[in-house]
Amino acid sequence: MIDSATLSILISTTLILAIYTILYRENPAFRIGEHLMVGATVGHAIVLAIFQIRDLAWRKFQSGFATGNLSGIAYIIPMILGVFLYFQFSSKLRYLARISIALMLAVGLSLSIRGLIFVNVIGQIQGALAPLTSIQNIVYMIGVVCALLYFVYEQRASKLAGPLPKIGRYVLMLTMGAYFANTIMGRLSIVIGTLTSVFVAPAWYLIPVAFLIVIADVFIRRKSSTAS
Amino acid sequence: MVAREILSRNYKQVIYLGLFLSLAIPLFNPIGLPVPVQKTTLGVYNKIESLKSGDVAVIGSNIGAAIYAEVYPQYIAILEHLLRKPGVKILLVGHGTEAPIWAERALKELNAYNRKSYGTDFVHLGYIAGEEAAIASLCRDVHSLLKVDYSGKPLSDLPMMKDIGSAKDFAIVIDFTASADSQYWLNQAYASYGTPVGFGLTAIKVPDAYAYYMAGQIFGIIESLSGAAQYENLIHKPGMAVTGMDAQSLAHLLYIALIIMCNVIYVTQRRTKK
Repeated sequence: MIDSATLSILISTTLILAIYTILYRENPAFRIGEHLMVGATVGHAIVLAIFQIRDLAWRKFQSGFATGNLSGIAYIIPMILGVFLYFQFSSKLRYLARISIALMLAVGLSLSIRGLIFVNVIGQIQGALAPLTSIQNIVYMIGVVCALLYFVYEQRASKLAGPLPKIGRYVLMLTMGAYFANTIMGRLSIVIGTLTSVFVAPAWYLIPVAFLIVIADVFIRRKSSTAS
Repeated sequence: MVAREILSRNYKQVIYLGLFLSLAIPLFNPIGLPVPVQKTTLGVYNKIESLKSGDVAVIGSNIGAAIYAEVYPQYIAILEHLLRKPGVKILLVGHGTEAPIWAERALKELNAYNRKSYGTDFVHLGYIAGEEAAIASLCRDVHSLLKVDYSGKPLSDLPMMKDIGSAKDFAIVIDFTASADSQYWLNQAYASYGTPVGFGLTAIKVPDAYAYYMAGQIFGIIESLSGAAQYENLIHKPGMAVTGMDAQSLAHLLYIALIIMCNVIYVTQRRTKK
């Protein structure tokens, strides 16, 4: 008799291997795995969203309504605005959805603008103006100045800057190289994490099975292509 | 001839197989390659070491299945370090939908419920919807945003929560994430309340975070699996990340070899054509 933990390991490993079969070619096993993943994630998100509406708005509205507390009753407003969002699908009532979207954008912008300016403008300028006492700070300063000069498109200013915009271009290329290298490192980490969870008994018994299925498919396809 | 045919027709599959072997072999037989500790990782370690009894550490648990391999080992290592610190309070919260599942898994894996007292030493707030607006509300007043914890217990019944009102009461915030939402804590906790913020990130987000680190706006970064491996070594608890680093180093060597090989083939072919 298989216990629930073993069964869960076997199911997850089967799905992992099904997803990885895309490396061989597009196939139904991959599609099943992909659709299950998307379905499970969306299903979980919907359930959580419903719970959030219940806990953060509906219950507060209910208690406000029962006690006559206006701040509690006011929770009906965000719930109505939430419903308005679905009018996006109606050509006649689309303007109602725009009210909610406009409010969401306004709240989001007003909330983040202060922090964004402090963190991304003031803080970054302060950081760039660090005392040039170490090689790291000097390189940082040169990088910032040159990268900024690269984006000065005015001809006379570009001439005055001499080779600095070109250095700026190399700085940008180095940064993008770092992004790309980090992306590869990240993707490898994901594979390692997946393999770590697959290389446990009894999950790893499924690996040779998957390989055998792929090899069999290669031979069947090859035979049918030579026959035709 | 057969090998040549396979290589020319299915070179991608051959590379994938090579990559699989370079990753799988070290996982079965660890080589034990050294993992040097970076300044960014040390920054997080030193900050947690400096915490005193009664300090509150907020952990942004925005882990999901897609980033589990990179961020979960970091999360485990940091939680383990925090659990070892006597008297330090841990507040777990996430604005990713999968966050509470991974947070609970980590707490169980570390046996936190038996090692520490729930409600006194740590509290799991679960998932809060609303992205940056939710973080802003949490930083302003935890109790006006949430009435109950992840399991539905009223926050007013949890002794630890009586001393926590706003972000002013947070000693540190460490956010584990893969997307731009790490910015939320910087915008709301650091910019508005001066709360020190650190990050546990996926590799792709690290170059972005370096701008904040260099400017002194964050105290440290745990960088992907390598950062997790460094942290595991720092706390003397080698785990999944340390094992994985051998595989990653070997895969990097394979990549370098493939790049050199392809360039040599390209140059040779161009010369013979001339």
